[in-house]
Amino acid sequence: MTKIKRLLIILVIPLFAFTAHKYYISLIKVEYKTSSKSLQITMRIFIDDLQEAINKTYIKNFEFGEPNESKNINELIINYIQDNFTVKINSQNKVYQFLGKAYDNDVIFIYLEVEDIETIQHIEIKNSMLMATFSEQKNIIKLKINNTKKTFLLTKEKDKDLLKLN
Amino acid sequence: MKKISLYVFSFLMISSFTFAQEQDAQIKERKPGHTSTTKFRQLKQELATPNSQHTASGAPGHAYTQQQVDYVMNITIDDKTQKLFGDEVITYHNNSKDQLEYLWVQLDQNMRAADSKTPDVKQTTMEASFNGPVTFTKDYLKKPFDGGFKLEYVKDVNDKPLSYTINSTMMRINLVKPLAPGETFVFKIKWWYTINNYINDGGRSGYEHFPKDGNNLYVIAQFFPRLAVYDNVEGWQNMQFWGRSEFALEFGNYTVNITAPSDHILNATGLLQNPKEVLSRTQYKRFQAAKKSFDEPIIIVTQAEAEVAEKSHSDKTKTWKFYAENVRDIGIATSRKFIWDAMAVNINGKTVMAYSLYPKEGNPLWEKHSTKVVANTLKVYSKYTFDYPYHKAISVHARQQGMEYPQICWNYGRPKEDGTYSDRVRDGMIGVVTHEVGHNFFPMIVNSDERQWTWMDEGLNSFVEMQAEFEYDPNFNTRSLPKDVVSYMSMDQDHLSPIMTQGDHVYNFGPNAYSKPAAGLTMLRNTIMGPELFDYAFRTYSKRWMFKHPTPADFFRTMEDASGMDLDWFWRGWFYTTDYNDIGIKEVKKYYLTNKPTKAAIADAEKYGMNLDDFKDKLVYFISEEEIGNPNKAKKVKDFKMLDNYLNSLSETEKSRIKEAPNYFYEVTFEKPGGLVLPLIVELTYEDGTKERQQFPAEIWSKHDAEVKRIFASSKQITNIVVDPDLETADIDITNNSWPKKIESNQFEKFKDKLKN
Repeated sequence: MTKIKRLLIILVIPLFAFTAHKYYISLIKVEYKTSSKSLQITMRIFIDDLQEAINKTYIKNFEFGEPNESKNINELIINYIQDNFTVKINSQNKVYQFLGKAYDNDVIFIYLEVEDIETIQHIEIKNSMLMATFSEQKNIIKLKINNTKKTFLLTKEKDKDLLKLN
Repeated sequence: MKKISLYVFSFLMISSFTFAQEQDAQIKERKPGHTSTTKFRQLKQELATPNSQHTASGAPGHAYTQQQVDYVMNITIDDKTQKLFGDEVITYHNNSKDQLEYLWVQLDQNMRAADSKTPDVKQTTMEASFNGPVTFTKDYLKKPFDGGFKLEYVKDVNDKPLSYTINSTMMRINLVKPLAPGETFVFKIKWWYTINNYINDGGRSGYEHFPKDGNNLYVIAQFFPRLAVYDNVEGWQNMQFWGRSEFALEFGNYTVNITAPSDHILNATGLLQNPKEVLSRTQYKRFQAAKKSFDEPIIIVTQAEAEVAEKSHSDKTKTWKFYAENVRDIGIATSRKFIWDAMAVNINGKTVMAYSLYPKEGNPLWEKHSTKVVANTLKVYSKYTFDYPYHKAISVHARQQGMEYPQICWNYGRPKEDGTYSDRVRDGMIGVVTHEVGHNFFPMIVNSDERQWTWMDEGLNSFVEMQAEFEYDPNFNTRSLPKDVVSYMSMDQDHLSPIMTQGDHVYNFGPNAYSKPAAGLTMLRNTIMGPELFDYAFRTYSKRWMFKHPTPADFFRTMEDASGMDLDWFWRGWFYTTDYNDIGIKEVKKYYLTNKPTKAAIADAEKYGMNLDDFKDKLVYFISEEEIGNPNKAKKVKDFKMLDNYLNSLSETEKSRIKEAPNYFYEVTFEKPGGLVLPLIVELTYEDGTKERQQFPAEIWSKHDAEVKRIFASSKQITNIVVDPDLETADIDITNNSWPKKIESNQFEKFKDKLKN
């Protein structure tokens, strides 16, 4: 067997009669907090999927989830997010801080924050996380900006969307 | 005797009389008429008309019949070429009252044939901007894998070739003469096919190759041409096998002889007829000893023995003989690498064997848990349905697999190379073993049509699975409680399908067929029916349809029939729609008692032409919090002499029915922005810290779908009201569930606060 690793493997995962309820969806809540003038981003992703995507992308063999978690995981997660997730407010690319992550059952929560946002006239979100590894991946973005609620359904074919506010 | 005419009117919430409103309203355009749209209408139009095969009670009727198909087959698994060779004699019993002009035979491996249409219904896009050589070769250079059935002959009992027509995964046997009711048709098929490497090519069966020792682990299923189901629900269930929706199969008796390399350890559905021939003397002794070992598993084939076998690569063969009675399918697992352990399980006086087969790569996790989980599953499922009727249940370790067959199943859960495993891996393995072994009950014995209704076995199984998991480990992280399906049910409606949708066309298959039905059953058991009524009805359904073919209507009807509860509103909402639940508190109005006419009372008296002076000291008035201003001015029940007099005038029997006097009256308006109707669970907290739970049946929403009001009258003040405090009803938004409204710091803020500390 050669050492050439498969960099991007499209797995055709057949559906078995098992418990793991395989569906490729991630949920991201994006909420604007007027009091702190910040954008709070909460990502909810299946640990298995993120693990596989990151390991395949960076050719690693990391195990997510305590207690055996590798030390450099946060670095890779941040890199991976930065390569796949962008937030543009009023046509400007915004820098977000990685606050941390938490595990719950088979899901990982990742918390990001964008600070110093005076107003939002329009907001554009791109999220192509997991799509290179799982072609059916859908990333749902639930936005709550002042009184406006909007949901983006991002797919491989359309991995970004824009919301204009009054 | 002076008649004390006493009127205790509630002038509280006199809803304005309709005639008053009508006079004010403009003459609107008359709406057209409508059919019944109440959410409580019976499911008469949705369910098939009851008949003498599937009755209105939900039971098999007096005219119920089903076919039976028996097989005698010889199978050879060629480890060198990864090919499976077989020949079979099929005896088809037409127990129906119908003439059959043809028979349909399922050729499931054709889903993997080179010309299969399964890949043609998938979308293909320019996904990767670059490929390594393995992927590129697989996608663009290699010819497609040809794993389809190669038929050598299809002939009748006299060896005359039969006319047949193949449509992808279905083959029609064109009978020369129709098969009459009660008649039997015997025919023979010989075939072979190339077994797929399921790690590379996917699939519910196939083999995994282990490069280190050069061995294969085979999990073989759907390996023989077998009959499709014929009944009076679908006629012939010959919907194609595209790969997702699973199988519809008849019961029958199987004689199966399997030839594999002599250094393989093999097990399959059925009673092993020749254990002494295929096991060594030591292994046979252990095999027998296991039958008496109820507390701990006994290892029949040890890891050391498996490691020796891994190196032998024998050219000789052995034939394992099985006889399986009244099963709907056969599964086979075989490998040089197998360790085999076994434990006896007492199911209400009968001994059932729990077996596990796993390579060393499964240890130490598998030795620790697998057989014990099998045993636990058999015991708990037997409690909820019926005593497990077969003689054994096997859990086979297979990477990335989770699939069920009668008496044998494949399960994932592999530790890392150094033998360590996370809690997640362990819980995943315990969950999948429980789930797959549980499938023996649904659909192997309660044999529903999986091709049409995935949820009937997956949903019911996932529900009982949770009960088994809780018994194995009370802290087990189950995933199909009502609160676990909230994120699924609050998804974008465009990507939701009702549970009652044929599986191939469903979005988000997992939650749709597994966790949402299981969560629904949890609600039925814990919240709507209560465990006693539910368990009896569920057991009734299971026993009625043991070794038969039930339909969804049979399940829905039986649950009602055996419990005395009307559940059509529940089936309709939860199974037939993508409606979600959202119940909350809109408003709470507090009232006290007073003996003086209130503003509202004066207004109502005017309306009715009453003079309140005529009723001085004869009425109890309800006064709102705003109007009274100072609550100390409120009266208590004991302050009303006329009430005292009235109570004293009651008979002794009536007196005994008088309860504690309330002084505070809360009119609570509950709102229901969600479409589903579900019980209203209310928790009241009183000023002294005590709590009280009240649950109103779902029927409360019948004539008040958007909003309904209830009065809570109490001698103590209420400080908090919460709807569904234990999250039993899959409420997708709990921000409206509390009074006073809870300013819930959201999840993000909670995390930030945690970081600060």
